[in-house]
Amino acid sequence: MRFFTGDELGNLKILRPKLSGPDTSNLEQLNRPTEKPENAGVQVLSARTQRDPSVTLLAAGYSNGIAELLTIVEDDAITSLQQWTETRLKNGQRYVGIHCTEKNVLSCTSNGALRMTAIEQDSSDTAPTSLTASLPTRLCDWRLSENQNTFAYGGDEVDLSVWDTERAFQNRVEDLTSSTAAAKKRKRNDTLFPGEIWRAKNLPNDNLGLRQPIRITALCYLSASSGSNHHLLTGTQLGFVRRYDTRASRRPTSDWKIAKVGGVETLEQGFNLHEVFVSDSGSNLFALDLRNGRVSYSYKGLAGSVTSIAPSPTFMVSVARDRYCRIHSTFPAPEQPGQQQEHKGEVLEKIFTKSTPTVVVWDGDHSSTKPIASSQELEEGDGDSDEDVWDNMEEVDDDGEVQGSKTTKKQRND
Amino acid sequence: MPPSRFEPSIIKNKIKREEIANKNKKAKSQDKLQRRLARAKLEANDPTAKKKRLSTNVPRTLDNMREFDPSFLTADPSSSSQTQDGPSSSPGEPAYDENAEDLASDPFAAYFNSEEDPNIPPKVLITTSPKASKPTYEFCDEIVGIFPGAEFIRRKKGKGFEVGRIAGWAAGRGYKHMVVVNEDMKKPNAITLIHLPNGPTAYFKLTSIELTKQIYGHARATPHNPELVLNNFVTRLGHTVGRMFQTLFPPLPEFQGRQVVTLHNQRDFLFFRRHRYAFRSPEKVALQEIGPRFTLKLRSLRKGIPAVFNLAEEPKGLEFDVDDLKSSVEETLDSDENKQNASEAPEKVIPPKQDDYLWKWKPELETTRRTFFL
Repeated sequence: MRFFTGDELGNLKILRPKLSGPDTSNLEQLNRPTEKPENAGVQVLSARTQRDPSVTLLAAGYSNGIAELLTIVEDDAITSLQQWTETRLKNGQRYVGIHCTEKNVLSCTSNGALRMTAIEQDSSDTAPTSLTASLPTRLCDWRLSENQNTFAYGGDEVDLSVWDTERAFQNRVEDLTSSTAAAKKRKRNDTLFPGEIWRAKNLPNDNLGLRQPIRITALCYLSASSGSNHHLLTGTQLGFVRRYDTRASRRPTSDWKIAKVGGVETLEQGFNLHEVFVSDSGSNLFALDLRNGRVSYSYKGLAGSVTSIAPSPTFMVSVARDRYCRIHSTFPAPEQPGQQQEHKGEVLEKIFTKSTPTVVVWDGDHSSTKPIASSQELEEGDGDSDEDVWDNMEEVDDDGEVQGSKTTKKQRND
Repeated sequence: MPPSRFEPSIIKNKIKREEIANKNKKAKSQDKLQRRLARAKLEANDPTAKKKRLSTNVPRTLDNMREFDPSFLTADPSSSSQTQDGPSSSPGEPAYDENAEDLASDPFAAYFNSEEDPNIPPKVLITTSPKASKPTYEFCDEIVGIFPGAEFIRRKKGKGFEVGRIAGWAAGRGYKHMVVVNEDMKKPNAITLIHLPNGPTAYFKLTSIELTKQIYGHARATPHNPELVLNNFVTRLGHTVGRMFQTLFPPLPEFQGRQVVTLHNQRDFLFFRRHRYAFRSPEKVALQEIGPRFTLKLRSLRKGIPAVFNLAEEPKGLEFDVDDLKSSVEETLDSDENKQNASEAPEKVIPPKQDDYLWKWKPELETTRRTFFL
């Protein structure tokens, strides 16, 4: 059970939660054989366990444009496999997403530079081969779906957009420029780019007739066990969390105001059913129930805004701007939406990291353990289980019931 | 000691009860006085006994029973011994001081590493909240006197004059700090201190203001650069606040002016004082207070300058910043030229659209009476 964190000085650390027993959790720095990039903070991280479960691939993107692929073994020995630079990264732009798949590492920057770099196991001196693609600029978040067929992005006045991974890299820029040139003459928002399969539509004007601004700051795929990539959640700068279903419509299926201070910093789907963790700009971390958009519970004792969340089947680790890395307990949402949440999650431990941590990821296999989150599948499942419940229920005798009530009355009188 | 003593509260007669209770109290205090006199007599002859008593009977206060905060910056004994050995003798890897590296990379590092003339004071812009009143202007007058290099500019009222926007303009004009004195009910009540090029914003609550003219027997301030005394900033957050305050003043004080500015932290309250000192003898110093006296309490620390919310701005369409057709060689050439151009003209500072809190005070953080954050 390991978590990897990266911080603003460019250090990578391993966190091993040890919550039972006298030991406190260990946050150790990884000793790197090569020098870490100068003056570069870690901006994005992605971890993937290979087929050999003792080896983990970790891809990291730094603020100076360098991206690195590292392997980490069980005993925390780390070797750097590959390193490459995103040359298209300009001043003021940053990495917004990185994902390690079996064969490639996909990375994206906020000015839309998407790059797919092939993973080569034998670290040769030649630069790794990579394919590039262009996405619109002013992006704030980029995610790859669980089954790696699609990716999505959103940003400042860039609405949520889902692209097909393969087609994104096939198309050359001529298509893009010609399509944008043609699009500029007409409704430039509606024509999809080649490679793009779906784009969201803005909410209708509010009650004053004013356009709702599109400022997506965080994004997350809601995965079902079959690896569906139809459901997405976005968090906006105004504090709204919107749920989209790409098969159903372009407008969000639900829109909830969650954040209390500022906007949504980050969103992650939890491992319990219907659970999503949302953090806002002002030191709040909420666990949300996806069925009705209500906050199930929020974590207390945070002083800085949470910048990254890493859920795992047992705990959840969050990393905040007040230089603390916190381990939280999570509890599943109640069975019926709207019921009271009996057990609320707590901060189990907080660890002071000497520099501001920026990202945290869980070292584990995400796809196998994610629960069913889509409502349609849930309804089907519920129908079957309901009938089973009725069938399995024993018949209760009237005498038994009366006796039960009588005994409780007696206890009350005492 | 008898197993049960006689309590005067058993007596039903009020007069008699009062009499007995007062007599008991008086006897008790007389007893304590006699004991103290006896002890003083002993200790007048034997000073070591007094020292021993004082060293063993240390009272427990909230300050010395403070809750442990892992972000205390303390001198690590192991690292100091390694630096004594020197880098050449250590066979293994040198001690990686992450705290030092973190401090070296924080926004105030430029002040400590700068090669400019240390006598030149950093430029500070002082302004108020819109529609301020006389007490606030008087306080701002005093503040202008505190910081050499400070300028007061009246805040205009309107949509385009948000704090974040003004901070952006000030950064473009070479100011290093901005101080905004907020007013409520005709009295200054808060200070927002913004470190200018993209620095953190600290919001303090301001109380107990006494202006110079209200202090009896106050000294006169001179335009010399003052010395700084920053007391009791222990945690990482406290260190950040202390350094922020330090960057408001010029690095080299003028000792001839004999002025000292103190920011003393006690239980998360920052006490600001300004004094002139004179050495009456090599051990004795006389202090005379100048200048305003006020108390600050840190409420929040935000990364970056304050955000400007402009929700009604014109929506920009989808644009492309990255062009795949350009070869990488062309890109590197262009980027070199761009870098040169950028170094000649300072980059324009744009206020962010979102406030990111590094630290925010919430009542739930005060779990016990002994938790302090600075």
